[in-house]
Amino acid sequence: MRARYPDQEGYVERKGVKTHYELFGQGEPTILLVPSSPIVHSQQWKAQVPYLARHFRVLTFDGRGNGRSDRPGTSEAYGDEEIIADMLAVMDTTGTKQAVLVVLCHVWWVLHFAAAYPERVLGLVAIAPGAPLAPVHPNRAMYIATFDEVPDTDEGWAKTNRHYWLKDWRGYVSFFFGKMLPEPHSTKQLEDIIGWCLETTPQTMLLNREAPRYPKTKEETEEVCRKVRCPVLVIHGDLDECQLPARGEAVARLTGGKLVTLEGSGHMTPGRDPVKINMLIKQFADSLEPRKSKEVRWTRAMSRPKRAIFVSSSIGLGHIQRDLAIARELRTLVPDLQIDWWAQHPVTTVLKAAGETIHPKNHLQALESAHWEEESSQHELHAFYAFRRMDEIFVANFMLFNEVVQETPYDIWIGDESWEVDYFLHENPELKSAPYVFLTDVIGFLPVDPEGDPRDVALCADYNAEMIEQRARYPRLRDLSLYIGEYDELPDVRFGPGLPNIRDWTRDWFTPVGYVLPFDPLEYRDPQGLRARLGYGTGYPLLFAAVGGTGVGRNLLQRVVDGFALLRETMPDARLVMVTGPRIEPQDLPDVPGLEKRAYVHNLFEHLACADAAIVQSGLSTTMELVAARRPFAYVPLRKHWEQQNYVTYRLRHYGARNRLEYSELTPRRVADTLAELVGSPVTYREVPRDSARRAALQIAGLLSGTTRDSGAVTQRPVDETIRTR
Amino acid sequence: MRARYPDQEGYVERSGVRTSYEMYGDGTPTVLFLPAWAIGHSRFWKGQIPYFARHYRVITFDPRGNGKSGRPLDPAAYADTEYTADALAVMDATQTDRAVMVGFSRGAWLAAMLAARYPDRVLGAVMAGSSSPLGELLPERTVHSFDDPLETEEGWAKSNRHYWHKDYRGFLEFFYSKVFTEPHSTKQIEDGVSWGLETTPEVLIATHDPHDFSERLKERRDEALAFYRSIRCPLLIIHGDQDAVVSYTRGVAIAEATGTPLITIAGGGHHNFGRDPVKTNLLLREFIDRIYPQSNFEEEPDGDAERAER
Repeated sequence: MRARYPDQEGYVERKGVKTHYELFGQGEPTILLVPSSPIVHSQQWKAQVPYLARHFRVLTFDGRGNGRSDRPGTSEAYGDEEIIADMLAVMDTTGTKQAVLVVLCHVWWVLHFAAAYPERVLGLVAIAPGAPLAPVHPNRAMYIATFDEVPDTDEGWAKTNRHYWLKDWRGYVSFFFGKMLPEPHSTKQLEDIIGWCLETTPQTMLLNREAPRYPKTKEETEEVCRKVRCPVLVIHGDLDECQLPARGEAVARLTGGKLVTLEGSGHMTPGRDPVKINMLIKQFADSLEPRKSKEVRWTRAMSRPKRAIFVSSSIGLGHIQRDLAIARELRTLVPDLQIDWWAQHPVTTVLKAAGETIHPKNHLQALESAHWEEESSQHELHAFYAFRRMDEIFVANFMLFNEVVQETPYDIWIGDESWEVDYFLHENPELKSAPYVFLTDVIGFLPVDPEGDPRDVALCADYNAEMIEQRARYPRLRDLSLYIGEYDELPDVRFGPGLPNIRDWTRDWFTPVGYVLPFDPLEYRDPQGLRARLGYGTGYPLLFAAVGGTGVGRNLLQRVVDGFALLRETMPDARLVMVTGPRIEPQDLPDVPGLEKRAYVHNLFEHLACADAAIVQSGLSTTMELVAARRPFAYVPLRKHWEQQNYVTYRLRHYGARNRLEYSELTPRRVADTLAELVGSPVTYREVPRDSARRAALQIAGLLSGTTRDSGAVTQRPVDETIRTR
Repeated sequence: MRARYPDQEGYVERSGVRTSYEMYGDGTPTVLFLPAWAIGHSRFWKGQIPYFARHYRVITFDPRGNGKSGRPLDPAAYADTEYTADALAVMDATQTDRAVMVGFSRGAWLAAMLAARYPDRVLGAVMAGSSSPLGELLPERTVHSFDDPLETEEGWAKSNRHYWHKDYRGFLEFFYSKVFTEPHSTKQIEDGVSWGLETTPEVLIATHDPHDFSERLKERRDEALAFYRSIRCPLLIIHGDQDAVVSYTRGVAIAEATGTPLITIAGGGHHNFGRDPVKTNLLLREFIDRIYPQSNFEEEPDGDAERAER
């Protein structure tokens, strides 16, 4: 799913060729993101659109030959004049009098456009401009000359050849864009681009290659550059193998523009360094028009209230309970601390119910849980790939988070599995401006099957390697890394081939605080009393089924309903409470006698604690709450969920909970038999620690008070037992 | 020693009164830091000069009555129109066609006058803790007479010609404790007192006579509003909400009259540029870069930091 969908879209049609455009936002000025040749389409700007659209009006279009635009069959149709006329038509159709033009590589069209229609162009951002003002990269030069000849090799740059294109287009674009992304760990960017390239064909690209071009000698190009009157920003990576940095320098010099060199960067900077590129484009656009000033209230440092922003990961409802527990403990240690929550629906529902303060810009985030729902099919959420495909949402949400923490100077940023914050801070460490705590219960990605698909194995290892390198390079970026658990609860395996053991590495880089429960388990050891208090009554088997806060458990619930109907044949007084979560409508599941369906149950753990048996998806929180309450239960991991398959299973085994069911074997009969066996069966779980939230809070409070020596240093107040445990 | 010494200095002379100026840096545009009152001089801006001189061209001048400028004793020599005339004379002497005017307290009022009356000389006007005919006089400052002998010497009763003659330093110490209400302002207060001691109670009394343009407008709110609304250049209005010399209501009123968003320094006193130099410098820098078209696009310094780290 995309992080931002267009507010308006449509086609312009010229000489029978349709060009598709999209329009986002309504700020000023308009930013026109120009496509780079038909080889890719407007999704190339996916990391820019959501951010820029919050500040400006953003216009994109697919160049003819790719995306949702037509693929005309003559080379004339791909000529410079046609593309420039498309740009003009898209601007006219959308009522865009003037725009800031942003282009990657294909600066040629934009320079001519700016020279021909100066009144339509406010400014020009040329990223890695391919203006023939300096030589072609030597790697490519000799093969461009022999493009039409039958090659005697397919190796390396020799792939730049008509015959090779027609033979193995994927092979060419994989090679070429691999060279364009010299930055380590660029697998997702490369995969995206190859996907876009495959939406066009080598035949189309050959037509484009032979299309009529404006004269392109050095002198003629210089003349066009000199005609550009608007402000120009050139951005060029010094490792660019497509366009030598000398070309960027020349464009900047001849247009009187400003050059920003990105060191260590290749050709595809909008995708690979999106935060920096976004900020440069915004700064440039802001500098073109007198900005309206805003009312500002800056509070002197010593007059500020102590304020934290708490980022609570949105995937499921599990984390928010532990985050609230940590926040409650933190408030006993730092009584004057204000906490603004940064979270998403449905977590915000829980926060509102708890009377917490949600940051007013919270709702501007791109929704992660909608993404997870879209990713799920049957009971097979491939969590690693779903996570990986969140790249666009992560950039969009990081840009927003960055703005929010620039506007309000927080004393501390606390992130519970705040992946986007953590990743992009390591990519842009100069943006860190407050103490930062990262908490997690899962460290690293493991392939669902280590002997399985080599691509899964390699990609998981690459993600882990990137994280390990980021930590090693910027060790003080996090002021505190807290592991929610003990080292022994982690998988005792390597991060991947040639990488360290997960437990060993975690010992070096994380402080363990124990598994955090949202309640004191000792208060939930009387199921009969609890049943009376919660209104369930006694004298019959009370069963629970729950699947967490996302919609992915729908099929599991369906099977549980069927299994429960069977169970009633042998256990006619059994009752099943099914918690569907906010993203599954209870009425979408069938009604059977003894079944009660509820969308949301406040403090679900209290209810689970009086279950005679439960069957749950193996989300970490629900299963650990059952362990803590010492109730018999079976858990069903999502089939391709690396965390549920590996980390949760490891942890549950550590605690002695072993009733794991595979979804593929989960017939209604199996559900009925399992529940029948579980009712009344004894449990021998290891005790879950009761002081973990306190341990986490003490560590965080130490950062706020400036000392981690002991708890006495951070508070004079005794621990309020009732606050502590509830 | 100073953090930055002037590249050029000189003086202008009008009706026998010398006004001494200093110039720093050679960027564009020119930023003219105006004097506030003869109770101090151009060293009020010591937290600004080195920073802005690296980016722009900076001019400061000592007000008549203090620093290296003359000390006439005729009250008429201290009319606000004399100060604006001095500012223009300094600009002429330094070949400065136009400048960003920066002032606090009475200096902010001078910036407003220059902007309203000499629009072709003013790129933008910055008013911090601005004296103004708009808004309210602080209630504690309405109690005591300046000219009559008083029975008390407490608080604002020290703002009295007889007390000035008797214990000028005592007045300065009191006054600067009101300028800097922020805790731990000992150095700023000490600086202020020492600059105050560079002139005499006699001079300061001569500056006090209320025959200014601003005094006249206090009685005529419509004219005062019309005056502010006649300003065409961009404005930056800053006011501390704990200002104990010029009421915060004045900043609010000027912002409202000119349709300019107010920058509030929450917890800030009267001289924000002196007490919160980093924040106010950044605000002023952003303002100048925004209003001065030639300064166009510049990468933020964080890019340099990033490179240095590598």
